[in-house]
Amino acid sequence: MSAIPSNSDPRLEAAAASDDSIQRVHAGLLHTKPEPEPGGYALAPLLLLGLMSGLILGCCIFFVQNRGAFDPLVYNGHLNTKPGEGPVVLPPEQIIAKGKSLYAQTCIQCHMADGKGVPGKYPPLAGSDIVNGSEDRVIRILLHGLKDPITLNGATFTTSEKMPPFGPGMPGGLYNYSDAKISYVLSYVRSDFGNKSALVEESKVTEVHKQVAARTTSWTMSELPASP
Amino acid sequence: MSAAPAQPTSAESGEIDASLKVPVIVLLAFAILWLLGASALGVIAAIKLHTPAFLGGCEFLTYGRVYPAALNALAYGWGMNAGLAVALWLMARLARGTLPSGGLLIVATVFWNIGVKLGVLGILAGDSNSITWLEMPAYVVPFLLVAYALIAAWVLAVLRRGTSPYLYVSQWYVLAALFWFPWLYSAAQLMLVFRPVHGTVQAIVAAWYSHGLLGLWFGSLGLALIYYFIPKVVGKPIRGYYLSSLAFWAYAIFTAWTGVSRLAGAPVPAWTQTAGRTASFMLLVPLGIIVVNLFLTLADGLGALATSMVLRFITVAAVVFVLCTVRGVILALPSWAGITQLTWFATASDYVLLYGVFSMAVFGAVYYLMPRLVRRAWPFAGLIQVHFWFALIGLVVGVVSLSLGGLQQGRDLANDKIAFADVTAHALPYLQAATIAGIILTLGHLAFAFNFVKLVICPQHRAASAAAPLPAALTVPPPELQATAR
Amino acid sequence: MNRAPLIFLGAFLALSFSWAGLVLSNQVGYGTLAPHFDDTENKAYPGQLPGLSARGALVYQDLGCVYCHTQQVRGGEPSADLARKWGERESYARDYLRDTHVQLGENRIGPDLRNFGARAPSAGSPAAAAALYQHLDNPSSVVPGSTMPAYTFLFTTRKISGDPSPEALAVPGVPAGSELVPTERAVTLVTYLLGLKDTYDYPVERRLNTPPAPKAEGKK
Repeated sequence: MSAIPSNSDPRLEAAAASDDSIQRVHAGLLHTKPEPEPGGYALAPLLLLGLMSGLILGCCIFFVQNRGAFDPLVYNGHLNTKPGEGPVVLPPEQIIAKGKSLYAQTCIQCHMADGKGVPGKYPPLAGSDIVNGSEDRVIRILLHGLKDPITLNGATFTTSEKMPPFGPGMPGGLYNYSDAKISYVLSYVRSDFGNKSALVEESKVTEVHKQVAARTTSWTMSELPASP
Repeated sequence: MSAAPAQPTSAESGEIDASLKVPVIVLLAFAILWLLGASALGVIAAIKLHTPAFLGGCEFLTYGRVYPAALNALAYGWGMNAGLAVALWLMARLARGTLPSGGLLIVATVFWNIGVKLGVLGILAGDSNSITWLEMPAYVVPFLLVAYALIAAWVLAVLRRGTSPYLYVSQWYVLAALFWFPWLYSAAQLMLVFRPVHGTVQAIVAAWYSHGLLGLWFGSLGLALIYYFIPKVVGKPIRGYYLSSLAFWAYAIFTAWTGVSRLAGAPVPAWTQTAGRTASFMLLVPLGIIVVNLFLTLADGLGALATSMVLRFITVAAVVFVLCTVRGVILALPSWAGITQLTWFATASDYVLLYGVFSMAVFGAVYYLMPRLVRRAWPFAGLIQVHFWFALIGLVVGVVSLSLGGLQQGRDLANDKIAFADVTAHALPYLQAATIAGIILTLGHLAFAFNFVKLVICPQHRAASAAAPLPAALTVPPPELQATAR
Repeated sequence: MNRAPLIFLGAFLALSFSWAGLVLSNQVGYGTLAPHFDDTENKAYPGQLPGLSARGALVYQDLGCVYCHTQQVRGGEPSADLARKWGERESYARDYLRDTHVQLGENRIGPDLRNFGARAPSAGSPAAAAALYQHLDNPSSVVPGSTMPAYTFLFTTRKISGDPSPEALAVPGVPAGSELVPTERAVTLVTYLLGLKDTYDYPVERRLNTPPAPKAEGKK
């Protein structure tokens, strides 16, 4: 046993082992496992193995629980939603904001900024029975358009043009709005200009769209369901 | 085979140490210069945190420039020079190889330091990349990589020339670290500066690099020194040494993964954050083994702590390594990360590894190796004491104040009733304490530097040492290490 | 001695493992994420930074603003970012596509700036820029007790020739006949800061990151 060298001046620091012997002794130790205890096994390595296995198991559970579906766009580990699961639902104020910007691009030309339309030519949206009425009917009008003459709230409106189709796949259709866009713009007109009807969900538009998918001509007032 | 003592005249490595003398001293001299420079910049930055008017109005010394300059001077000036110096010495000693003529090595060292100097000045002048640990502008990167390659090649050359048939665990860490740094550095530079990747993938690369630099370069070199000096000074072989290779591989695999745990909560994929956290937990495997290896061996020779300053520095480094890894585990726990992320608590963790583990181990190593290179004793034993206590007290005060301040900051930030001005005000006392810690550390560094300069160049000290007979520690070979059971 | 190649190989594999696992897989996973095209508004989000703002981002980088200011809004417990009005929602990776150089930041010595442009006092009006100039020139005059450095070097005093500059700072101590005006760097930096806003909500991210509504029935 090498004692602490007497020459223990901190200005020099005596070594207690030579480099050669450090190498040689440890090279031997590297392959020397502890002697089994009288019971026939060494306790320390088993304990270590047990702890390590436990740790690895715990880490695996933690990782799987917080993997965030391995989707690069999931930022909260505990959310394991799979991509593509569930519809995209925007908060109401954003739906209305999007609808408003769509309205400003197209509808505003006939129905005007205040939604009152032009008497005798373009029907008003403010307080309109059709706008505030059944979702089925107003979705159909948006998808495929509406031919003159239009009767609304007891008045008749006639122009040289018709209400154009906004849905996709109509001959001569210019807009090709997705179901989502139709739901935005409808939600907007049903909640502005003094209207206070429920927002139209995208899924509802899709449902109606499927029912009338084969149609290639605009509606007339008489073809539409008359329910309010 | 009982050893016939080697050549009695050269203690144990006279020839090896003589071949290393000039290059290692040059590397260490640059390192210590940078340590002083980084200390000064760091203290300026620390003062500015609570007294922004200090040196205000000087563009080059605004906090956003002086802080990264201090970090880079510390990591690449002090850390790389000192790390390469001890890596070279350790490798030569353990491989029993001499250094072939070191002229090119010195030229490479000078190049490295020109590169770092340009880089730090570039940061102060406003060319910073503003990526933590990678701020040095792109124009110094070729300098650094070429100089590094030349220096690292010499370490490998020493290994090749060595006659020892064995490879001790310290050599594993040194070899791996030598290889990891250039890869980490060039990959990070390529993906962040030269051909930046898009979006927050950048943050992932930066986190991978940061933790790679700290854990795989500074941490590995610190561990190499600790593994070497504990048996060297205590005179007992490492306990449970057969486990050390498992610890090495586990450390190598998990450390680089832990980097992304510092992005917990950031807009990067959840699974990546989780992977980083999981890796932090897995680091408990190598940690457990390292604790068995180091502390059971230390327990065999606690008496040496009373006399050996080297062992004191090394022990502090080993204890801080344990605390630092445990701290990493705590930081990765979801319940803690929310409070500690984006505060001084998380930032302080980087300093702990760089200063508390790496620098402390290097201080210890330098106090051991310098007398053997110059074949003279250190001039002032008292200054070694001063350095040790100032380094320890500064480290404790700094880490404790930044950690408590970080917890305060984190709790304040999580409470929206506390106005931001109050968050700032509550942190001030802790930042003032951290400045005091920085000043204490700087005083310790001055003691270290003064002792070093006096040892190397003071003619009076040289003459006095030459007059007296060489002390026994430099002439008598150290005893043989005895293999003990278990 | 002959184990050195083994160590090298192992070290190579260990670091490759983390590089492939963290860096490469994420680069493949969302490194080529594209801006989201909103067909309602006929615009892609996030939009490109305007030229002046892009130059401001470089000033932000060279001054090292990132060491005190994060640019990431965090949601979920226990973060109070949303309650502090630092953003309307947590930050998503897609928000950062407009940044050449992503500066998430690591320490909140100052407040988060990711939505500074959306919440700046009198945002959107010329007064916002004036307030920010004053803040940069003398932070503690705007926020008492602020530890932010005074960026006086971003402003220059010059003789008034012709009409006074509309951007001149209304601060005391400027000699008569002179005015304190922002330099070009200050102008670009302020343009950048006031342009920082992530107000657009991406539908995909919203869907993926909104916790499922707790089921009404079967309370435990």
